[in-house]
Amino acid sequence: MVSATATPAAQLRGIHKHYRLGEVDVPALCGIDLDLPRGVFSVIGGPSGSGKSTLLNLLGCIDAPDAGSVDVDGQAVAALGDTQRTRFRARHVGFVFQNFNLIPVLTAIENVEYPLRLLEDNAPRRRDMARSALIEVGLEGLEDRLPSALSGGQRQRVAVARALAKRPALVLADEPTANLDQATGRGLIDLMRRIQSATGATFVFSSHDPQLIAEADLRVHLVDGRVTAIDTRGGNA
Amino acid sequence: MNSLNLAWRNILRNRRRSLLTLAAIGVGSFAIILFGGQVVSTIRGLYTETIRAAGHLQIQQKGHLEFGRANPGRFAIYNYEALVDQLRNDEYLAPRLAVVTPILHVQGVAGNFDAGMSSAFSGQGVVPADQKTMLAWDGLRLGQAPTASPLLPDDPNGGVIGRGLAQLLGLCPALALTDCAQMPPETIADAAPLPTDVAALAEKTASPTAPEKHNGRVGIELLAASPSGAPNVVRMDVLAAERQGVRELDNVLIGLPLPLAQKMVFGAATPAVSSIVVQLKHAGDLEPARTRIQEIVARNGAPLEVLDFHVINPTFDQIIGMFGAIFRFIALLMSIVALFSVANAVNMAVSERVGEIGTLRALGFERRHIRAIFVTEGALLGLVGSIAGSLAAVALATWINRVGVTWTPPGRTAPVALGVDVFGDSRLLLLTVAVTIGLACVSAWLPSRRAARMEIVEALRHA
Repeated sequence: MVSATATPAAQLRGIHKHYRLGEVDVPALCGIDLDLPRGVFSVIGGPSGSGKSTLLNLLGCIDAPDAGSVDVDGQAVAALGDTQRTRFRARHVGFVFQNFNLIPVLTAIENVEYPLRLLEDNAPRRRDMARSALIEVGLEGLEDRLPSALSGGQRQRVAVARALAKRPALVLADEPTANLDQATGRGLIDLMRRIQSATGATFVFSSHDPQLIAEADLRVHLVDGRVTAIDTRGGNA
Repeated sequence: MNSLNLAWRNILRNRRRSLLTLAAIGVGSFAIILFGGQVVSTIRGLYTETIRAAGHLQIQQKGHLEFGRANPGRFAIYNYEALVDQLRNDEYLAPRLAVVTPILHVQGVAGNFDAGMSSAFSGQGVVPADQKTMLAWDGLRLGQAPTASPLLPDDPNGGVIGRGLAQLLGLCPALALTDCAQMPPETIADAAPLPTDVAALAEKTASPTAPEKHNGRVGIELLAASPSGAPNVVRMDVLAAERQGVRELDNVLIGLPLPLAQKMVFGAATPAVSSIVVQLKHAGDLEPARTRIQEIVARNGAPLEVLDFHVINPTFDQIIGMFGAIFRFIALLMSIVALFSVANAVNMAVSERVGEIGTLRALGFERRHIRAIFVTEGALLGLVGSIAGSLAAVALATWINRVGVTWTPPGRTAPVALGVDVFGDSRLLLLTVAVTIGLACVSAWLPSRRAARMEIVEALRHA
């Protein structure tokens, strides 16, 4: 359920974002104001080109708005320089990508462990954190497999483990079930739901997947770069 | 999993490309080390030859180097025996000395007057026993056999001449020299035929006559001017005619015992020498020995100077300079090849891994981390390539040294072993590997910078 009392996990105010395609300015986001409460399982839905990925990029601090402010976990992102923003991202934001984006030369456990080098100097402890994360997503026994030796669902689980191993405040997933079959996607949604409940982290997805949308505590609907509806489980926000 | 491990795995992603890059770096390192080893070997051989011939240091009257040849008396050292003893018995120098010996430069006219033939010569009077010791110097431990010296300690009149001089003096038949040209008879065009008896007489008188032999030995006369300008003539028995590496030298060179040379220059007057040659046991003692000798010389009060072999024999530095220039040129070419090979490989790797770069940046890797990933890959290519090239060069050098390939270096007449001394200069291997790694890092820097500056969102579109 959405908690209205806590400081939002992310807060966006007056967000505008344009992309330039040749000579043409294409508006991606037009005046977005949005609060994402802590510890919720949120979905940003909408048709293709509605600005879902752009919004997710701004929340993940990998892109900057043309206008407006983005606060993540209480931090005004615009105030950070590139290196500070990168460090902030390393500690506070976890990403799950549509194409899994695993490093092909690293095994499952190494893929999870590699980003932890940015946060944890102790190698054995790092390895333990990675192993725990893989166990958490049900990949025990597959730690030493390369991504090429894993199924799509297993790869996405490795990606989830990589995002969660550092216990971030905010986990962002861009269409995480888009490249999975229905059953595998369902399993992944259940897994993330379970982990979200256990860790209390804030999960934000962009998705067209009705299964995932139905599972969300908070549903933000975007059309043409504008928020047209915000639903919470059990009623409108 | 450390950075090198990751870099190695990334290198193995495109094995064919990496293999080509490693081959280019390897060939470059191979060529540099092999040629460098040959240069080191040649320089060490040349050094040994130079020290055998001229010693490390020479004590001369000031101005002798410039004017001594034309004024042997004025620029001579007269009390040389005392000075030689002083040097040999000096407490500091004694253990460091291989040879201290006087020499006298002479020049004049050599004649086979029986045959009516003469030619200018330039010679050096030496102490045969000392010269024999000098020619055995092997301070760099090259295992080089002592250079042969035909001069004999107990033969005060026996000398050696250049093969060209023997030819000029018409001594080839008398010395039983093969591969020695005979002077063609002079012909006069359109001359009226001589009467038969006159022609026979002319032919008899025109034929070169073998020089008169003393005790069965071929002798020549040497004519030189004394310090006062008076001509002195001595007879020298020719023990051997040796081919010199340079034709000009071959045509004029004479080596003879010091007393005979002194007799030729000074006659009955007080004998003197041109230089006192000091050959040290170890090259590293040159500077302290020079300092000590300068102190001794200064105490003597005579206007003497101490010159090292670089000054005495400037050709040494010129040859080293030439080899150095060729080596640097080859090293430069090979470095450029390595530079572009690594740059191309890393550039391709960056282009193929744009999505991965975006992912890593999104996960929290800073720009410097991205740069480090690609620079490490470049450095690893440099390390592996240069070590592979070095090992191949060492293997081939070992084989060449074992097989005994020969070549004739400049200034030499006989072929010498083609040595490839890759361990002779410890810097050669270490610097080749280190510089290659450095160059590989530099080559990888620009593409890695491009990777680090990518926009994350744009890069992620390629994932």
